[in-house]
Amino acid sequence: MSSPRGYLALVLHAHLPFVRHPEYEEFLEERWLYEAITETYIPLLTLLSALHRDRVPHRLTMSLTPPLLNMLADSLLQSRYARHLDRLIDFCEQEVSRTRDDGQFHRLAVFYRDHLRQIRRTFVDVYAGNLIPGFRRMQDEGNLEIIACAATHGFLPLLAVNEKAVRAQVRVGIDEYRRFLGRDPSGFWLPECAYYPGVDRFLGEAGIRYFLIESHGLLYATPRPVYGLYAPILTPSGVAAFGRDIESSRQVWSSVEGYPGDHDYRDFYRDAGFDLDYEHVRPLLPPTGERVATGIKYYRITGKTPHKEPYNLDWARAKIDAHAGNFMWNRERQIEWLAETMDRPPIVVAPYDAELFGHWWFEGPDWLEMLMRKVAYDQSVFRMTTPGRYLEEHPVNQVATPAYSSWGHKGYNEVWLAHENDWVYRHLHVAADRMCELADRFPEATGMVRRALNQAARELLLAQSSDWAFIMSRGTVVDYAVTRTKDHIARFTKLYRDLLAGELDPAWLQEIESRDSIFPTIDYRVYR
Amino acid sequence: MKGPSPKSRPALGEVAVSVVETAVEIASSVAAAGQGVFRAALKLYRLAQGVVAPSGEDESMPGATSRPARASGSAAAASTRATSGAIALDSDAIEPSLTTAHGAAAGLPHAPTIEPASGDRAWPAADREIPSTRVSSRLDLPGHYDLDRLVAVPRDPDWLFAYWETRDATRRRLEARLAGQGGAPPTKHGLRIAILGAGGADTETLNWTVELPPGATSRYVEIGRPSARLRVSYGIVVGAGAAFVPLLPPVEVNMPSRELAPEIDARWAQLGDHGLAPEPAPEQPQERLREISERLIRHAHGANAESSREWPPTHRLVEFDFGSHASPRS
Repeated sequence: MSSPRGYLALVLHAHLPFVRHPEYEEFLEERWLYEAITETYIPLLTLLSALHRDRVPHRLTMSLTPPLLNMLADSLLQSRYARHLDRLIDFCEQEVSRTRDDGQFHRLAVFYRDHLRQIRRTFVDVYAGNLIPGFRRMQDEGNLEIIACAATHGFLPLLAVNEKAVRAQVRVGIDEYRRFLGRDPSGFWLPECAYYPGVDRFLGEAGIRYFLIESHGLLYATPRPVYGLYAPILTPSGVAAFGRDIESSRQVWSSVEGYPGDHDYRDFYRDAGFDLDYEHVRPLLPPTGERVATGIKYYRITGKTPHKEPYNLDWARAKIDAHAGNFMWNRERQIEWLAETMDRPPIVVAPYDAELFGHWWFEGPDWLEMLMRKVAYDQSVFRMTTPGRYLEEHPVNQVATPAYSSWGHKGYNEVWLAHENDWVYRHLHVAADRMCELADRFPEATGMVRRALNQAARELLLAQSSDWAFIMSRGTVVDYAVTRTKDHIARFTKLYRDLLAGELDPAWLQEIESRDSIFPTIDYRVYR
Repeated sequence: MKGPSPKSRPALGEVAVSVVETAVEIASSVAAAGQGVFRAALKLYRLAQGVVAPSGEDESMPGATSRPARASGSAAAASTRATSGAIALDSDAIEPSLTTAHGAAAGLPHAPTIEPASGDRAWPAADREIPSTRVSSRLDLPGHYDLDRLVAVPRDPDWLFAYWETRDATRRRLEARLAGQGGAPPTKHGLRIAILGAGGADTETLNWTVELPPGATSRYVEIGRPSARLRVSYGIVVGAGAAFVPLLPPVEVNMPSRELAPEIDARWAQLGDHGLAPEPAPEQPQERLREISERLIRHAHGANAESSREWPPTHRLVEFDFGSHASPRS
């Protein structure tokens, strides 16, 4: 390709809160991980492998957060996932049999069976149950750029009352990145793209070269950004900030204009777990017997109607092709216009939650693959890149301070600071102060004291997960989120008191170490 | 049209019996195995999401489901805590739910967090209630920590959130001081908000006191001044609001901006080994840079307004007829 007129950087943010309950044989919230593995992470690895195999020029940026990395690497969760997958495949075999006289649904049943069998082969045979080396290999091949994230996806502006807590979130997050991926990260995903002036200092200290922020975080930067959203700025701390492009986001996110709402795509809510005979789906349900979604869905969106038509694979594939072409065409027009206006090649940064692709939007991974193939061969206006590569090619940038912002609803803190969840912060702030106090009081701990200090750090970090406040605000699994918050604060508080009193409970410590087993190599002195 | 068999649900009583039987079975196996295991009813959910405009306009969509009603009673609420010495942990009180599952959507905890424009349907649209994992912590967190502390953070450019706590000793000292000055015991507390001058000046250009209801420990305060620099204090309102006596050291808060910075005084650099290394500006006069900036920013804002679009409105699929284009390359 001759010199492109501009660049497109797709960024996928893959994150789940740390959910692992060895104390229960099954726990529903662990299904979040199983669904994401089946519907998003394995399909993403598969498409990246296919593009690599076919030597298709492409670039993609992904964040894999520390809680997700820890869960993907966990042998208990890996075995539970395999068991979950086997149940699904067994169910699909029955579905193939049940629908043998119904052409439309039979074809779908066969599709799901074969699809899940392939997922299982990929999980067990190709990756031996651990997907992380697959992502690592894609990064080593050069087409995937994986960026780091905060330790437990803490909402940093609301933790900044004690800036050591923010620094610890950043540093533990980067340490975990190094542990799993074997290199230093160049980029960082601020949780919820939540930026406050000064947070970049911790990123710069940790060697981060760039991070991403919401659109108005860049547009309202001081001084005003010369290139708007279409080039990064350098913060005074020496870290570049890239802003989310609104245009490309709308095409995917918007329920009116966005592709995922197309009537030929699979409907998310019509699921076999609710549609089919209870005894027939019972093997897929939790032990308590309540109906849950299975991921086996037979209907398409059809329209703004409760009536749904059967999902048609061919129609969906045709739309995937059309929508990939449309997205590419729109980026061509956008970048042509931007290039005429700017005196340097523009970069259009398009970040999305990774789980949008495959989980919420079933056809999403296929759309991604089609898009990258089309971009490589069907146009010459722009090239795909990563923020890191763009910085290497365009190292001179405007110095400016981004504006306080997030990509949450209404653009600031409201989702994580509302009547439903504001009660958590006095506890989080006190716990952070106490953790710093412990780190200073025990500068060179060993043995059980060190274990207790490290566990206190884990409990604090787990309590700081922004997922709990988010869930409380949205009113979904509120009990679970409240319980997680309270339990982690309470465990931290007990550790704090026991350490100060010099009276540790070895059996209790061992039990919570086995349960809250994230960050096995954490060093509590990150809070000094 | 033929399709999957109609669903049949167990009656509520059958669910209850099933849960009890399961719980008894588990209790037996728990006792035998010496492990603490407890079954729970589970909750499925969905999350609403939408798109945020850079101007901060409220484009929210209703979407989040209301909380499911709590089931009355539970068939096997008793903990199956093992008698053989398993460690009693804090959140082992998990109760099965008798809420009838009449359809729900499993979903990850984070639906896409960017929300659709006002008027858009919630995406993906949910048409079901969601059953619930009923877990509860055995623990209550302390109501206070015996600290003197005031924390104030912005919620958005217009609203501030503050919480505070004072030690009893701190309050008693103040009361004694006021009594020594012949004053009545304080009965009101409040937050004092001061707007500080521009450019880091310490002078107060405006201030007011927000009286608080008795027992309040936090408050949202409407400031209505994006980008303002504030000094927030917590203390006692004395007399008829005539005087404010601080109980805690004040805190300074910078409210977020909601507008373009007025200046385009662009400085350029690249990252060197020792921080930013200044670089010469692009060979463009300042006015040209301002023009570029305004055009690009107008375009970015205009992504939410058709009238500002400067290239063909191609993003709407309904307006893009693939039949009229041989291929994206043509």
